[in-house]
Amino acid sequence: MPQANEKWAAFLLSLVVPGAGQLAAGSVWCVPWFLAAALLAGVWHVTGTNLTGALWHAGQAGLLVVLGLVSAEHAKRLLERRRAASDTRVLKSSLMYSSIRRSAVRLRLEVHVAEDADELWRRVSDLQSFLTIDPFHEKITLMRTEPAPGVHVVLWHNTFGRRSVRFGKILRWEEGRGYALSDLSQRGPHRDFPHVFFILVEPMNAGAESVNGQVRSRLTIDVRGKWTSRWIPAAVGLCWMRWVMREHARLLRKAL
Amino acid sequence: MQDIGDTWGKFSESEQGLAVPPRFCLRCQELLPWYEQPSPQCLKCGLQFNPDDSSTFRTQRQLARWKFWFPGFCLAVASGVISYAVCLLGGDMGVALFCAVPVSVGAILGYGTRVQIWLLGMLAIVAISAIVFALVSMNFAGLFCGMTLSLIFLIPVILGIILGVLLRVAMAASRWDQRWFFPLIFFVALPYIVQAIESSLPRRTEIATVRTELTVHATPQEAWDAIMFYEEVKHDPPWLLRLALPKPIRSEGNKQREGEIIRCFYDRGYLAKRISRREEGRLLAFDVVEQHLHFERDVALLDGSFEVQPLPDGKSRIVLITRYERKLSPRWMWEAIERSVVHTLHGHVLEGMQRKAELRHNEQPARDVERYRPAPSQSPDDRKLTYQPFPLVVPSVESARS
Repeated sequence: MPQANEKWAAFLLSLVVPGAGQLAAGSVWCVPWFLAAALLAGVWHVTGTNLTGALWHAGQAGLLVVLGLVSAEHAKRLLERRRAASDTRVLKSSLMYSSIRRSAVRLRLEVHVAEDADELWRRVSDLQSFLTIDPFHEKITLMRTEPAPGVHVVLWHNTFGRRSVRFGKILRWEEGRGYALSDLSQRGPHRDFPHVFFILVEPMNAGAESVNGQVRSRLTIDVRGKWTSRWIPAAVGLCWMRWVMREHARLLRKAL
Repeated sequence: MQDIGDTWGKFSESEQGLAVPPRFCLRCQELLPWYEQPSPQCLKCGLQFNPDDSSTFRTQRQLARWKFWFPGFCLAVASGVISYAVCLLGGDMGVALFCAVPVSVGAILGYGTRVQIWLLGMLAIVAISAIVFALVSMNFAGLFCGMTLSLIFLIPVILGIILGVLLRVAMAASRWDQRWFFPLIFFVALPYIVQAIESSLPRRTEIATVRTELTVHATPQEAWDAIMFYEEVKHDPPWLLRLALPKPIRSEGNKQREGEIIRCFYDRGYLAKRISRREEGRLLAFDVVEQHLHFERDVALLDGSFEVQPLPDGKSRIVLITRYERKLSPRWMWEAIERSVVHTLHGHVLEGMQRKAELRHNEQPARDVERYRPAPSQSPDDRKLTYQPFPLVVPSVESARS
């Protein structure tokens, strides 16, 4: 059975051949995708005899790209970690704040969870499980048996199928409340978007944890980093990071 | 420099006397200390590790050799194919196509790969082959053009490699942190920049004249009667013509009168020639009025002529002249190839004419004792002559007699 960390392989497969990623994921959804691709090819074959020109070819290419992208995203989602719909605890997750000033980047994600803060902390403090909900984190290796300030962490990344390793350190650890973790490039602390995660778990409405009859707690993920690329404008970088955070929020809704 | 692990031994004895396999840092791949540390970490980069957890260190060094050449090689081939196709479709067949594209391919290889010189040479050859194969497969070039392209690409690719390697060496000392990308982007964009510059410059028309002559052992009248176009030559053309030109099928029309149109059909198109001047027994000139042979962007045929000149001792000289507009540039690079093809074409036509003229010349029985004789199967009374196959190079009558 394919693993969740093979989602990018399925993504790339379906990007090339719509339906191939679904097949790799062992899903019957591959059949409609194969049929859609065959139908598209058939329509082109029939109509293509009468239509020529740059616009027609551009349309063909555009349709092919759209079909590939939608199929790839679907294949990826099939392999994402998820809880049963009835078991989900997340009430709301959203990107609250994002800004870039000069090269300083700051983004904040908030997740409202229908469970006790202690229970949420138990899951958030399991670094291997919690940090791999991030769309690009594939594996986490803790260099000591227990997390503590100063313990090094290896973050194995998989970005659209390209694997890379980044290194970090637990900067702060407050049991039951939160922690901070750096994520730095292998090439050095000043290269490739160095950033720090601040993870904070707190009960909603301190002192009155019940809202609408549900016990609620709040998980805040704050990302602070430095945009180091000189050839990609910071605004483009911010758009990219917003997309990543929204994707992270979606994955948290499914996995928490 | 000797690895400290070699000096101390990869398998060091621990306190219990058991062999400890070597461990390497996850980040810098340095050999990790085998002895106990209060806080186990790499002595070089400081990354921690847990001796009891094998996922926190490597058990062997990893060197992905393909990373040193494969991405650069793929980029060079992809850029070469795309830029060639774009330059071919978008403008003239000139410096951008035949110089900038291969220089760009070579420079990407030189800058984007870090391998030994001999391997770089191999990569260049494989890259050229891959590009030519892709272009021929996608119908952007024919087989002959592809082979010619391989040879033409060789020198500019080598120059590009030298440029790329020199730039990489020079940039290695630089502190510019984007040095890996920007030169590569420039090399990828180079063909398009050159194409844009080339298209903006005025283009000079150049007419080339190729003249080939042959002395035949036949009278001027016999030589005149043997005049034929390329499409009418019966024997097989040389390999160069078979590769470079479309295969002739037939020709229609009468070349006996001025103003007549002769249509010559090939397997990939046709050519229409109008007889522009005819001086009986001396000169036959024609203009090419239509050309649809799939090499219109390489050369445009203009006109040509057959001239028969009398020589002493019953010999004649046949002079073939072809004029065409040269469209390929750099012209100095293509001139030798164009002339070679046209001379081969002339040689083929002249050989056909020589065979026909000398056959007619030798049809007189007194001269044909050696060359022509009755077929062995025929009776002596049957005087019908049988033609013996000619060798590849037609010998003169004297040499045949001897």
